[in-house]
Amino acid sequence: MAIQGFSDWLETPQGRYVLDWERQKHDQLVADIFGFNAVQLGLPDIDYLRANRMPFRFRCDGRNGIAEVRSDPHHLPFAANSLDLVVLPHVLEFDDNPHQVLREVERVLVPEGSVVVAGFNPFSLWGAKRKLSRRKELPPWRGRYISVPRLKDWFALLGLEPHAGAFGCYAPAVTQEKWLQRFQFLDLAGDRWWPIAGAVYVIQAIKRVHGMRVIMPKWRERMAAARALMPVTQRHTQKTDSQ
Amino acid sequence: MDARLLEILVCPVCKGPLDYRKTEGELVCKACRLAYAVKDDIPVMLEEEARQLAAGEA
Repeated sequence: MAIQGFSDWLETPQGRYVLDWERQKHDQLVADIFGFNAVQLGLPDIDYLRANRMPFRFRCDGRNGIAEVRSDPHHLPFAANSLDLVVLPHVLEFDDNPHQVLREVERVLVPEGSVVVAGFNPFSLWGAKRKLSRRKELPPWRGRYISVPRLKDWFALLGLEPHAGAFGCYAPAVTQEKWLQRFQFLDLAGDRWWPIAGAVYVIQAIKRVHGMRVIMPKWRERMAAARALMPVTQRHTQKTDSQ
Repeated sequence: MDARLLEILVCPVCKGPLDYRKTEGELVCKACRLAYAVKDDIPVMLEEEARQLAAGEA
């Protein structure tokens, strides 16, 4: 779970650019998700839940750090149907077994609970750079980027319904602050013209569970049908017979 | 440790209930015979770092 060097990368201008956008989007998304318990898996140095208003928010990480619980994301130590919100910032693409992480998240979520996933988009300038670059040891280029259609497919398999999401960070993967500033116009243009090609995405999905449906007793339905089928004239004759 | 956290914690291996032993600072899963340490109010819910209960221990 520990993403080697990722926290350090987030301190660089490039990382700060991604982080600023992500935090802004997370603040918008998680502010209106309500419930009792919210957890953030991974990146405990950054509080993605700061805008959330649930009474109990905590962080969970594999490393010895400031997280409130230490655990492995493949084997979460939480009871089934116990959490209302799970935030996964860049966990899936840097993990060896992202399916298992999602399965565990689905298990611990309450019905109608939300999961918010942030990740790098392979169909973007950053994804292209990653494909073309030979050196893939450093953090943002190391993971296996998961595209949004693929993620939605995984969600569908687990009964999670995509609810809201956003793409962002359209600037090319330049490392210097001034060049990021110069490419700022791309962020506005990208949102308008090629929204699916943002380098980073944030997506929220809701766990849907089929509930019980109350069925009316059948005899009522039959009685109503019989009454409806009776012709008016017949009723009239019946009446006259009885008289 | 937060009572709200204690309420939702289960054994990561068998997802069974845990027994919180305050004096020893451990969360014990009787089914798996594992004791998870609580260090500075942070429960370490890792199977590889858990202590195997001795034969006589309950």
